[in-house]
Amino acid sequence: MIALDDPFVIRRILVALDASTHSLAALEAAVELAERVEAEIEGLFVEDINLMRLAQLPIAQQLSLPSGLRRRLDAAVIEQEMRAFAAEARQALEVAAERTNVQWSFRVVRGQVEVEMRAAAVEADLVVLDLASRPLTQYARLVSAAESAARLAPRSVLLLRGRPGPVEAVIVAYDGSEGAEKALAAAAQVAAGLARAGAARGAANLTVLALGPTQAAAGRVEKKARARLKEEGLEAEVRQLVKAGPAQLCEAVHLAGGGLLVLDAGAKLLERAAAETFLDETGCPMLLVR
Amino acid sequence: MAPVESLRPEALYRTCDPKQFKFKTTAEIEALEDTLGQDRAVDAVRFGIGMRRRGYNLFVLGPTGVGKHALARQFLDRRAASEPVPPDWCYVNNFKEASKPRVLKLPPGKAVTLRADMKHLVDELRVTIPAAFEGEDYRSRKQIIVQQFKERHEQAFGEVQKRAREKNIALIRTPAGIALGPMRKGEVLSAEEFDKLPAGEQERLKKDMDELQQELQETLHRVPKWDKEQREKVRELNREVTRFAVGHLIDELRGGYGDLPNVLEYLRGVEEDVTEHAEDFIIAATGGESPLAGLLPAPTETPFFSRYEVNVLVDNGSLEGAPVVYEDHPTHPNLIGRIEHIAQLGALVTDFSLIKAGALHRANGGYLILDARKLVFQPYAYEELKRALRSGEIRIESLAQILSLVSTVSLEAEPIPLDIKIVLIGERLLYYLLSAYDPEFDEFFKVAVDFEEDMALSAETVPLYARLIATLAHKEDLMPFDRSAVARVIEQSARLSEDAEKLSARVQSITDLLREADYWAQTHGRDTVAAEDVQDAIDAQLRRASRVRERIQEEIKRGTILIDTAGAAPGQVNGLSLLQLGGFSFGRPSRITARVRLGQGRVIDIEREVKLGGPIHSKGVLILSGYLGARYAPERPLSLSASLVFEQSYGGVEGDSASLAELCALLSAVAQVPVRQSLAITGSVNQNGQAQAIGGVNDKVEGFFDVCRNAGLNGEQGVIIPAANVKHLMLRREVVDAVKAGKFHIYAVETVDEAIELLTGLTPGERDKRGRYPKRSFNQLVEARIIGFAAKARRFGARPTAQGRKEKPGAGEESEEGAKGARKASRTNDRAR
Repeated sequence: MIALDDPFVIRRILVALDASTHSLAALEAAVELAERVEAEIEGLFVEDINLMRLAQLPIAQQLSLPSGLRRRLDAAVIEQEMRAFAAEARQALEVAAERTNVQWSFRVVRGQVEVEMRAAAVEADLVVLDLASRPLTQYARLVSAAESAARLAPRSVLLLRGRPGPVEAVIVAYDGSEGAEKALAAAAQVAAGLARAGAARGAANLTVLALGPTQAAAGRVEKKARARLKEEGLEAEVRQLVKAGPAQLCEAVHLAGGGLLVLDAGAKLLERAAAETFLDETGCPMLLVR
Repeated sequence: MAPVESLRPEALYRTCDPKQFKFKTTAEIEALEDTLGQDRAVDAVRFGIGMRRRGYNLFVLGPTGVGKHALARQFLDRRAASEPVPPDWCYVNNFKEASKPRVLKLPPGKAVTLRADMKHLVDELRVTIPAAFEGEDYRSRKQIIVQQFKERHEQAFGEVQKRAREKNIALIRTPAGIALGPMRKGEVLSAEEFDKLPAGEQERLKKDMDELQQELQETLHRVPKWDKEQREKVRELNREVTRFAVGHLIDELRGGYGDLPNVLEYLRGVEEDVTEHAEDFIIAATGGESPLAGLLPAPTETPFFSRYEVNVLVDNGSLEGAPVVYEDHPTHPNLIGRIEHIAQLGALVTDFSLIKAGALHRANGGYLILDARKLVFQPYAYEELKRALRSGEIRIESLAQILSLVSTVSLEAEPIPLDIKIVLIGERLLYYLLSAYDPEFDEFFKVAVDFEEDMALSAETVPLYARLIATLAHKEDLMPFDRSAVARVIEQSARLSEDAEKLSARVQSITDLLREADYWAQTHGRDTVAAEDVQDAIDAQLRRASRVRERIQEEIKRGTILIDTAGAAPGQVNGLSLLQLGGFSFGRPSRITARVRLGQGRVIDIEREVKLGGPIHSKGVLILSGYLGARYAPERPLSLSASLVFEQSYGGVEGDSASLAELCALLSAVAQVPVRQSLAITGSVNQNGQAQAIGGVNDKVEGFFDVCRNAGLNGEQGVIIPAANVKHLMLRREVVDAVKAGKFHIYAVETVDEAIELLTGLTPGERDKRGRYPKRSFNQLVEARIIGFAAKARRFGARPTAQGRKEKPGAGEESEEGAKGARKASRTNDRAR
């Protein structure tokens, strides 16, 4: 096991939902993960205070999507919708958790989404977030994945896009930085968990992508990675990835046969819309480690 | 006039002497390759086959069993072998209009190659296309397009969001859309807070929100256009990738068909179509999940790749000349081809791969043999055949389509050019009927191949016929025939042709006889067929078919059917008729009687009166009146009425072969001279009293012989036949032997007088210089009676009865007294001359 000062342990998983959530896929994925790592799960539904207030304003209006038609925003309808959604989410969590024997709790709070989520995240080790939450168009969102994840600092985030397939392997982006070390340790733990649960794809279910701006740098990173793996007695496949951008990352994950991508949450690679691109292209889940 | 002598036994049967043959058995004889005795037909076939003009199709006509099929087939096979192999034909998909399949003409054997090539191409494409789309190049190029549009979306909405932030307006995602509201320090104002704002501020916020909403709306309206643009770009990229992946495969294929422009054009179509439908290959490769799903239309219901199949309609690859096809079931679809349908989700659907070839397709470029009778009996088959011949192309249309019986999806398959020679085979009647009633018939069937039913029996033909027998025996895998058997077969052939100077050309009947003789030889444990076996075969054939004949003979013997073979009776003659039942005919003696009375010169044919007599029989009877009047009453009214009847005949009577017998019966009745019942007579007669030939003479003679034999041959019995029929005599051995032994006689007569003399024993008599018949001659008796009738009639005419009535025809038979009066009157009259 890679020795860390603050080992990556998941005991409590938070699934935060609000009115903009598109589906309950995050809930199901979170329950599945909680079962694997023997964690408990907390469901949180935030009734967006801003939306409630907005609905009460006489000048408030909404544009229907995707038609763009103007419609009155009715406070009573919004409130009704939120209650219904919260009840639906609770029931889904209850059914899934009872099926898998995972400990669970669910609560509904009213407040600002960001504030409430951050407050809840403090208590959790991992937050599961479904990026399929209703977009404006095929590509445009009001809030980007990186922004959503940043809101939840200092917690690690599991990003999904709809319901992912079963995870059988772990791929970690490693550039030798401190954050990358954390990511590597987390990846090694998840891979070991998969192996324990008998869900791993083959013996070497861990792939390390050695990132570097040049061939030489990547070579050095690879060497470092191999040394770290050797230290810990871990088996893994190591590949170099030079000047990695979102497209190259996707390609590397494809080549590795897909799986869970583990990244340092502060990695430069996540700038701009890289997370969305990755999720759109591969359909694989993404673990941002802090 | 010298009395007619009984014919010599040699005249009754033409023997074929086995000694004339140099071989011992047919195993030693060379097979006969040419058709025997059908020179006219052979010439016509040669001409018809050689004539390559439109309309010179053949109609082979003749009776069944003369070898029409074999001859036609033999000549066609020979000719076709030296002709070029016609092209292959196949139907392929029309990528522009699937309901109008295209036809491809290819060199012989090439259609199957094209089919295999296309299958191979599709197999390759199913690997190559998905591989091209999985490549890194494609992925990154597609990613660039996606990224480009992603940025466009993000930029457009990002700007709206930025402006909203600047103006302190919140954009919040609602379950159904996006809402805008005033915001302060990251929080949306509550209704109270908003109310507290100065009116101007409220107005400004409202105005800003309207503007932003307007902007957002405009951006949203641009989204579908961007999406479409993106789809187009991805599609163009897909086309480019597919074209590249497919191009070299199709180029490779083109190499094999460089000299076939129609195939090259088809391959161009395939290339375009594959490029347009790359997604179907990917869907097939991923088992239905397309990475391009959403950007591409859903796949069709039918198996997609079948659109690139090649439906080989005609494969002439294995031929070594032009095809000769015999279609034994010439229905409309079997001739023209058909378009099949398959049921799919409750509807009947079809495509080019369900087009099936007909006989016209298979025989195209060669020859098609059809049975004319079967053809005309099949609905629309003959009409469609003519249509194809007229238009020079085969256009496949189902009967249901032509008759509008179904309204399901069908195809308009491109027609195929037709170059064919049709050989219809049928009986003569059908040929003449078609010729008379179908105005187009002569246009399409200009060559009549008319088969003979028999051939001359001569020193030249007999050895050839022996070779024919050898050939048939060999072909049928029969035992060899020894020369006695061959001679017997030849004799039977003459009998079959009903002529001692002819041989039958009905190869079928001869073949049957040979097969059956072979059977009897085997039964007798012989290894060659002998004359006895042939005789056994003939006897068995007769025995099998002769149930009715034997029943009639039996009833004559038992006296149920009245036929006398001894004694004499006036006005009663044994006539001979021929009965035909199926393929078997036999002679049946019939008693013909005549009665006369005073009348107006009319001979009543009772058969005709009851509509049992045919027109030819009536004609024969009317000739009798002519003869009677002209010979015996040229200058007097013929004042008698006579009635003639076939006794115990309950079916129809047709033909004039009994007219000589009827005349003899009539004259005997007039002259009141008895006729010998030991004789039977057959033959027709003309107005001059000459005996004319009739058919079935052998059967007739044998029919009476059998009756006499059953009654007991007494040396008096015999048959009178026209002299013209002597050449037709091929009588049974038993009859010939009886004649030889003097127990039976055959007389050949030239005139009715000769027959009368034989029947009555009286001299007929010729008129002397004074125009008188010799006294007590038969003719004198006839004339006297007729004169008597005339005188009596005159008396009746001059002296009306007390009631003022004159004699009417059919008023009653002349009494004995009346007859005497007539004789007296006759004498008076003679004296008056």
